[in-house]
Amino acid sequence: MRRQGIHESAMSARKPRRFRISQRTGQTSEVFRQVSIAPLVIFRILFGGMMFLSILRFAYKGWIDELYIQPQFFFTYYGFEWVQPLGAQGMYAIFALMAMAALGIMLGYRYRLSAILFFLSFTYVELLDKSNYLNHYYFVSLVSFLMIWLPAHRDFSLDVRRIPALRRSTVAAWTIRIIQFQLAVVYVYAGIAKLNPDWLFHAMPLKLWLPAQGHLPLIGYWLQQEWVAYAFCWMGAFYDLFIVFFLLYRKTRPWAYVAVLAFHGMTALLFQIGMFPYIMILATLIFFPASFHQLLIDRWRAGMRSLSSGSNPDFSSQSTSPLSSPFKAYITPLLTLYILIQLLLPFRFALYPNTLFWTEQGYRFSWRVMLMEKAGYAMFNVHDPVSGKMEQVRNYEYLTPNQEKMMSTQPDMILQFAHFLEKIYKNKGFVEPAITVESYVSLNGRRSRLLLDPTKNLAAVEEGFSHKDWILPFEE
Amino acid sequence: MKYKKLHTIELTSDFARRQSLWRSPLIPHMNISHSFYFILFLGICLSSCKDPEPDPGPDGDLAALRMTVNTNIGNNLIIPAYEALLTKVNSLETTTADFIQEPDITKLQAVQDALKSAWISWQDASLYLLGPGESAGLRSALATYPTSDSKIETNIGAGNYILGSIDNQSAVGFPALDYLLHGQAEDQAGILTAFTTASDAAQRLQYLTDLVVHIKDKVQNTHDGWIASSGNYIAEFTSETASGTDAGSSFGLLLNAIDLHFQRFLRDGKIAIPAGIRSAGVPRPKTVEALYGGYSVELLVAALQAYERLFLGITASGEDKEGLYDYLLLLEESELAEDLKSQWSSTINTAKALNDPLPDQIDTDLDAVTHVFLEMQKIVVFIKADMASVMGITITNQDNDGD
Repeated sequence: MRRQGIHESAMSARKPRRFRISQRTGQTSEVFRQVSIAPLVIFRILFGGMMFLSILRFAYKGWIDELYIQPQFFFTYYGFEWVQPLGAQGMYAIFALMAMAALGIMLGYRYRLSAILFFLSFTYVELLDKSNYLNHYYFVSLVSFLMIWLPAHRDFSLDVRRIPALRRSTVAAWTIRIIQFQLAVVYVYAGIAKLNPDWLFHAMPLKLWLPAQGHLPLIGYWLQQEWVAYAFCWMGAFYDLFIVFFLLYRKTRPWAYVAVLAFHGMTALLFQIGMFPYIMILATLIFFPASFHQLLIDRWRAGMRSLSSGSNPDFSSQSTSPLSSPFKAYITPLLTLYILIQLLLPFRFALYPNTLFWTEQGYRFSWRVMLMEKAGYAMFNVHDPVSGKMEQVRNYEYLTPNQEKMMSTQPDMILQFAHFLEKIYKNKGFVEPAITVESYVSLNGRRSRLLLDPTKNLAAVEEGFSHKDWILPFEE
Repeated sequence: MKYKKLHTIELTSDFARRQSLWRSPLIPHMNISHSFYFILFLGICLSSCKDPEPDPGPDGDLAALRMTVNTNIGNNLIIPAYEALLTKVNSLETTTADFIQEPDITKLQAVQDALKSAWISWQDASLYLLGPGESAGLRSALATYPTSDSKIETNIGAGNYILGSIDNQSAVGFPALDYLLHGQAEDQAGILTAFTTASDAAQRLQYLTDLVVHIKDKVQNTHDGWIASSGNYIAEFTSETASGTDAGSSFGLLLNAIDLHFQRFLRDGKIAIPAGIRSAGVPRPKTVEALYGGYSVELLVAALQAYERLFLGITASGEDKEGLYDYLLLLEESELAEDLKSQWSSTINTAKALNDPLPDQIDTDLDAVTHVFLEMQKIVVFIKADMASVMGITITNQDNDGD
């Protein structure tokens, strides 16, 4: 079974596969059914490798310094104010650790430890500053968290080479399904988020972004046509909503993967979104059958054998007993909990009044990707009723250009900055500084207008998840 | 089922034989020959839709207009601005040389005039600090103010100094010349004395010469960096590859450069800081530009007019060609274009209503100065929010990933 020839693997790929994630009847078998470990192994290698490259790129671009050393103020997440940067040496050390952990994941070397270290260091860095929030960083945090619990190192890894007894040829089905689920969440929710009037009926913001690429050879002309922006919007929504299902279904899978290549290739070409397209192109391979992944492993092994004159012992033909976990009883409830959180979190915006894109209450962690063009400018006025002093703040004195841009359009960040200013001005001799802000924001090409009540003293406003009633309502 | 059909395509070449041994790792169901045909198919698709006739549709060709705007700004605004600045700095150099030969009141007056016209000329160039100007550190070398009288005096006393050092940024450039040529004494005779009969007159003359040479070098470098016959940055600026709106494009660089310059050096440097808007309402009149020469408002108006010309695309010779205004029109943002256009002229008018010397104006009628500040804030909103948004330009001075 394990040593399939090329023809056999092609044959087995044609066998119908079930793709239901959970079905009330026979749930146990679907969660714990033993399946080939190969997809998990390949995913581990690709994910670790991509993370390693991403970190190198991040460092090469000088972003460690620019984003985590230069700023004097950091927009922490509510409840995570204690997550603070570690200074130049500390930050470089964290990134070095992160890179080594990514390599550890890729090679399957002290895998569990590597996965834990990677998750912790990566998430720590992400928690430092909201200005740098990207959905794909959130995705990486989630996947690396999941990988801590997955036996992805139990074949074709340095760990197995060190301790052959670790090797398993099969794993419980949920370990692969949960990654597929996570990818499905990214796509489907990104698709749902696109079902809004600006996107569908005004082709916004693509109508602003695509013509910006009109100078590109071959496609430039088309990107400037308005109908193309509409076509991209509708195709993008369709792609996000349904690609996972086409990837799951055997007959549509090859063409779905061509669509994955085309879609992410296109976004990589048109937008500044870094490694995300490549990560998704490789991650979606997890939807391919085990035989495909086994083929990759076998090829690699054959290649290595021919290089090293066949002296390496080959364990891959030995059969192994399935993994048994003492925590097996907890797996189903914990998975259910995780899945529920993932399914519900993006809908939390519905708990707040007013337009989501305008207020951004419940916007993050919801797979709203490339959905709006928002730019603004916030003028902070400090007034001390006790001494009568008044001053207008120079934002650039405290914020990097990127932080200022991000802050200007997001009420929670404006509030954080106002509280920071309150401290600064108390030190400057203002007794009871009242901080008001005049913030003008342009959303999806509309003319800029006031985002917040300019008379509200933000120094007196508490941070938190409750509705910010000082956000002015959005009017068309 | 479709695959079966494709399988029947027989290839007898070497390539086809090899493909049976090596299936595409990406798509197991699709072997190499299928992938090959698919890519071929894609290629034919793309090449068949290559270069259609430009369609004068409602939107017009934005990419082409961006290139035209870049070409106009580069060739007809930026390069002439640096050429004019270089000419003015050259005449500053000759008048200074004349003055040093045989200092008298007339020649002093000539140097002072040359300084003023070079300084005004700098207002046309200072908003274009991208590419050569940025890397030459032109602004810090030419226009750091308030200047440090004490540092200048220390340098003169010591007799050895490196004008290019960061430490000496507040002891060089036009503001340092302003001190030497206007600020050493109350009247012309007194200033002349400092260069003639004072015990350290020779050192003062030397410092004067060194300052002018330092300015000249920096301007020459930047000028040469732009022009086609030397550094040729103009080619990059007007190239097709730089005609997008991404972080490294000419539009991107320009918008980022003016965002930085307008806020820090125009709004804050020339108005907000002296008016006390950044210092708890306590005016700091000594921080004005051209403190001793007393023509701060003239410089301010010149700087704002340079912006208006950039926005409208008005060339150095006064021709109204393609500018950001025209680009907004093509984007069908005529309302924004007109609003911004009238905002420029109303800002310039409020600035013209101020009287030199600015410190006196701040003293007697601060409201008029604050009024200019508020007008300029409206422009910042236009640039950072409305214009950046409809033009799809990210103002962060960094190239970051988005999502």
